[in-house]
Amino acid sequence: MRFQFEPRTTGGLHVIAEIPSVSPCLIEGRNGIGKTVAVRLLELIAGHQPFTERQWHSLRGRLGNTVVRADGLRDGQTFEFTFTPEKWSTNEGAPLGLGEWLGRVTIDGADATVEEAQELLWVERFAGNEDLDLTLRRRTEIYAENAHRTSRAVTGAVERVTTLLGPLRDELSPVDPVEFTATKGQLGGAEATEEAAREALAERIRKHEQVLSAIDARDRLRAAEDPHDGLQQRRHELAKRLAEISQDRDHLAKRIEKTSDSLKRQGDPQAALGEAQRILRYRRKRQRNIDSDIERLRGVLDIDADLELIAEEEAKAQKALLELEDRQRAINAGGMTVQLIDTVAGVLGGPGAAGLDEQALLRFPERVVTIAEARDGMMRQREQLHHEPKPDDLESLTRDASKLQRRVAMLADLAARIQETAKQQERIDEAEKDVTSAEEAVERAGQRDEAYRADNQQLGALEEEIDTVTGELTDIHGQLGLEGGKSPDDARSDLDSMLTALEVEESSELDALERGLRQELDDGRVAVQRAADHVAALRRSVMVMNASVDAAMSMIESDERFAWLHDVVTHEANSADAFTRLHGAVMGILDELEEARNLVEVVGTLAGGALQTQPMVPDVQLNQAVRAVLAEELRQGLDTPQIRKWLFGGAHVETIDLAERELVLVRDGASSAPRAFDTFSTGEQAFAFTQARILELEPSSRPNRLLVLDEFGAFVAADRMPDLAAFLRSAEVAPIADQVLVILPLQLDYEAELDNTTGQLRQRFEARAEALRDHDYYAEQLEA
Amino acid sequence: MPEESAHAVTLRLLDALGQVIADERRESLIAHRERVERLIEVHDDESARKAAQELLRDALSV
Repeated sequence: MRFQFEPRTTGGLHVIAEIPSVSPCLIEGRNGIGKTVAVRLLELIAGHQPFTERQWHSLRGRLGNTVVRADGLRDGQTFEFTFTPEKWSTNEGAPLGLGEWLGRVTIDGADATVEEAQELLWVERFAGNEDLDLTLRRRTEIYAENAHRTSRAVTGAVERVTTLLGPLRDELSPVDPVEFTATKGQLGGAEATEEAAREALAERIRKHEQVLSAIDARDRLRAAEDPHDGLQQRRHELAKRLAEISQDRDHLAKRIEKTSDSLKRQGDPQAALGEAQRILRYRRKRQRNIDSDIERLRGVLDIDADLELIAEEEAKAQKALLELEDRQRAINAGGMTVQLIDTVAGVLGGPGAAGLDEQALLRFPERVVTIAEARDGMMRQREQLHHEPKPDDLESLTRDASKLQRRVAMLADLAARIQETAKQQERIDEAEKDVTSAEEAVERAGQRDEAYRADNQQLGALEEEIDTVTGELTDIHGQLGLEGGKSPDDARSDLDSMLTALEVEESSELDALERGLRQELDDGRVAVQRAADHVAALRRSVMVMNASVDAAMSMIESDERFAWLHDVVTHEANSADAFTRLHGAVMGILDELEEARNLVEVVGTLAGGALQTQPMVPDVQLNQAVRAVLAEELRQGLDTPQIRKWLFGGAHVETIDLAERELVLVRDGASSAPRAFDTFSTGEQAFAFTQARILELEPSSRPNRLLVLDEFGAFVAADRMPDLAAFLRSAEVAPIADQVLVILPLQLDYEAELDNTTGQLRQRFEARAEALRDHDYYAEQLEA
Repeated sequence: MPEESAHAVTLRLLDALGQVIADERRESLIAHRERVERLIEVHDDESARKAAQELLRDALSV
């Protein structure tokens, strides 16, 4: 194989003119003339990219359309390869693979592809100055370089995927689901707090009313007990008289009852008379109770006992009650309207309405209302409703409604009592007739008991007097201000019950209690207002977030930018749940992609620094893991038959410690002491190591195989060139390479040595000196 | 050493790391290795779209 190079380079880049068709071939020349560059270009043509990123950028800028021609290939083939660096990407680092952009190709004069050229050629280059230590370093660098290449590929991929997911993240970002959920939770809590505050206020109001009632009862009682009032004297007289006649009546009633029982035992007429009289007394008692109720209710209601008047008053009270209930409903509607405004105004002020202020929202025959106008109008109405009703108004309404309800109930009760009293009178009339009939029957039977009859007449008279006195007393109590005409004793008893319910021992404590409760009411109203304001603020926040969520999900479902998502994100009825899931997924993916990218980058860094004593990154655990993995990889790479034979005297490699740069060998089951890498770095060992690595090469199936040993000056200096030449000509190397090239830096000043040489050596030196004068290098058969 | 592509070497390295890394980090490292393998298949807009769809589908199915 012969390779000719036609450089079109710039910037001081040089390439030697030719690699002759000689094997093994020795090329010796000055540094910087392009010996190695020529081999690297052949590696590129063979499909292997050997350059680091920095070297690649330098090559792209200086190579130009350099041409490589090959002839003497198997089956007489030829090719011509023209590099086209103008087509090489400037955006990426050293490429992972090589493509048709690399250059233009003809094979046997016909246009061909870069790939076809690759199939013609196999090139393997060994650096002869690589001992074990350098080899391990180079191999860790290869791992690092691979990881960096993958890192760049992953970085590019993450950028592409982020370009897709980024706009999605931007749409989802205005609302944080965690904050959204927390705010909804806070709203629930605030609503409960508001409800509790309102209940506490209602309870204070109720207690305050009880205290006010007790104070009112106490004051009435005090007024009723005022000794200077002339009514008191009459009340005491009547009460005394009532007690006397009540006592007389009880005695008389017992006597009558006793006589009645005796008469019953005497026979039917007497028994019938006793029973008739008992019924009459019962019905009269019942009538007195009804009359007493009517009088009490009439006093409380301040109305005459007239059914028509009562019906009119009941109708008026019902109407007033309905009006109050309408007013209460209006107040409640105001609160609901505030909530509705919060909802709608939240949407109109949210991101979904951004930039739409001047758009028409409502259209009437005369005019349209824009979104901004509607929102402003709503906020003004909300502000108005916010201050209505006053808490006092609401409480007053509730109290008035309660009073009216009680009044309506009492009016109905009064009407029922008046209707009942007429019926009761009819029953009394019937009972009186029965008594008269029974008396006549007794008369006829000759069983008349005058004493018994007189007792009955006296009892009737006493009961009539009791009715009269009781009625007058009720009137006096009413005039004294006791509610419902109650007696002072009853009023006192009622007041005691109130004090007990209020857990107050003395009525004198009521005033202080009332003042305290009034203060508590003020505090309670403030607490309710504060809680309500908090609820309203949170409700607005939730509404705005809801609107943002709806807007985001709507945008994602309809915007063309997210069309690629539609197969993945299906529509869900609950957009908040869908939003939360999508938000979590997108943010999670972006974080994970970044972490994956970082991992590859860090692993590359750690691989590159595996031979360093100190970790390259703070993640000690990962650093140790990378070292352990690389050590095992390198151990397997070294523990091959050839290397064991040539370098380790047949021993196996047991372990490698990269940090300590040591390895342990094992022979016949016995481990050696750890040995430093550099103990295998004598020239002889480096040569042995190179031989082992060459022999490990898998023979390529490509038709034209070039093996290059570069940087082999150390062997020449040690006078090992004959050994090398013998090895390269050996039967073991023949299956691996069709042609072998050994490259050396300039070893001698051949011109100067001419005077010191004779014979064949002088002739050889003269030829070399001449070639060096012409080309800065010479090429010749490597002699054993 | 047999010739391997850069990505294959890196993935092999990550696989090996998954074997030796501490238990608490293993699951995360294996998951990242799967992501890396998926990402190195991304080379243009279409493959990026496909990868994004798969990543989202996986994330939403959890």
